[in-house]
Amino acid sequence: MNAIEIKGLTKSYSGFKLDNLNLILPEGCIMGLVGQNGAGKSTVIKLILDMIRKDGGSICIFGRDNTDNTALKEEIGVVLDSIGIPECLTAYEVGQVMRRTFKNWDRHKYSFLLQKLSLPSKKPFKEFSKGMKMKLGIAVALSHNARLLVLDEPTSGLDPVVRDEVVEMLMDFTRDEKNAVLISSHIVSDLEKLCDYVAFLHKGKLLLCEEKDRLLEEYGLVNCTEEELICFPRKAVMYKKQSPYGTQALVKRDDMPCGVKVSPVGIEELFVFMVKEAK
Amino acid sequence: MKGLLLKEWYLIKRYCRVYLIITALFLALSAFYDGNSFILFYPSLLCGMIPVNLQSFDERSGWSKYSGALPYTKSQLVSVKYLTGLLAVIAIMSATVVIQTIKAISVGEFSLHRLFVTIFVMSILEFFFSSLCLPLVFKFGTEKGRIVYIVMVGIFCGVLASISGGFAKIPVLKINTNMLLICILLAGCALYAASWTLSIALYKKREI
Repeated sequence: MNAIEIKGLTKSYSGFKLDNLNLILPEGCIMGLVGQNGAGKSTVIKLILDMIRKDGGSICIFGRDNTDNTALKEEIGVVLDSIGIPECLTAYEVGQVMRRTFKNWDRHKYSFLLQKLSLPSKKPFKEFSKGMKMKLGIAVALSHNARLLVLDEPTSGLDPVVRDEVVEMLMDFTRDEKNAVLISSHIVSDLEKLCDYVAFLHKGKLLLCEEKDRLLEEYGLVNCTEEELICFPRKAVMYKKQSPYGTQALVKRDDMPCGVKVSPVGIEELFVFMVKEAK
Repeated sequence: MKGLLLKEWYLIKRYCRVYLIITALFLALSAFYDGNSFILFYPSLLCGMIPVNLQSFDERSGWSKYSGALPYTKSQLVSVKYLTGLLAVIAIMSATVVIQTIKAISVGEFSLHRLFVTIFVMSILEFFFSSLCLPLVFKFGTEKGRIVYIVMVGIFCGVLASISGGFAKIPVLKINTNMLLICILLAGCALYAASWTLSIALYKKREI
């Protein structure tokens, strides 16, 4: 079963349109939603969580329509970029509120996570560092037996050690094959470590949605001169970047002639090339 | 819903402490100043502000967005503010009833009618202000809603002062038509219920 299945999703604001988005996240997988600021990542997440109304299309989570479905929200753990926990609440009080919010709240797991993440239970949320706030948000999201985690920019503004801890926790979560994670970020290096699938969003349009390993196999980088580049098959060259030191091209490996040295491309480079192409 | 109510209680304990202190002070003063309507009814006015302030804290902390991702309906998210307002007015009314009853019995002037009038006026004050303010808050956000509320309180206090001569005895305490009182109370309840329904409808349309 698919954790998330989006078909023909559209949403318009003045000056922005999310255009006919189609996306599938299978169970047991982690999908990274990559995009610049304003690309529409948060809009997609809000639509998945039914926080805003869609103009068209459908969103199914674990095979069920997400509209006005509060029961479905029991199965979704959410961490927003602003977290959203009231500033005056302590981690203990957050636990008390959530115990009365989620039917499947696991207080033992919550206590365990607070300990594991070294989060004080009696300190108000406003006195937490940004990393601690994010970790508390994740602890809440992981303590009600959610099957799907939806995280909006969970690693932005965090130091590398905390980011690594967050990445590890998410990987732990998807060890259960019935679970899935959708994570949006513009820090592509984190997603590269973590994701099975990558979706590139640019100005409300989905540039691509592919398995990460397949993308890395499919595309590569060639450093050459302008004259050499002209000799390559046109369909092989996706994008080129010229500088005083030469030309760098993003190419499709399968369409390249034998004997040309094609270097591996990172997800970040791939994303930058594609966004520039789209511009 | 229990979770939401508990969250509101935590917020009231931390952020509305000043209101609680002022309310306690005015309740204590009402035991000594006979017939001063401002002292008697000011806690109800403050009480009407609590739901608006709670919504303001929610917007500032991002809870308004986050709660949209939790298993609550928009109706529940609106209803908790109205319920909190109701619980606050019930708490203040109960305290007032106890204080005024003890005071009246101790001076041998206990009047059930006067006590009912006090309760009616208190509940109407809270109902009136919350009823007008909360739909605006749920439609436009707390900043605009709060401005409207402050303007309303100012107008009300001005009118009250002008008709009662410096917050002395106000004519409403001399009303002795039970039917009129009941009609006013029913109208207050109806206004509160209509406001509740309107706020739910407005919040359902609002994109968080």
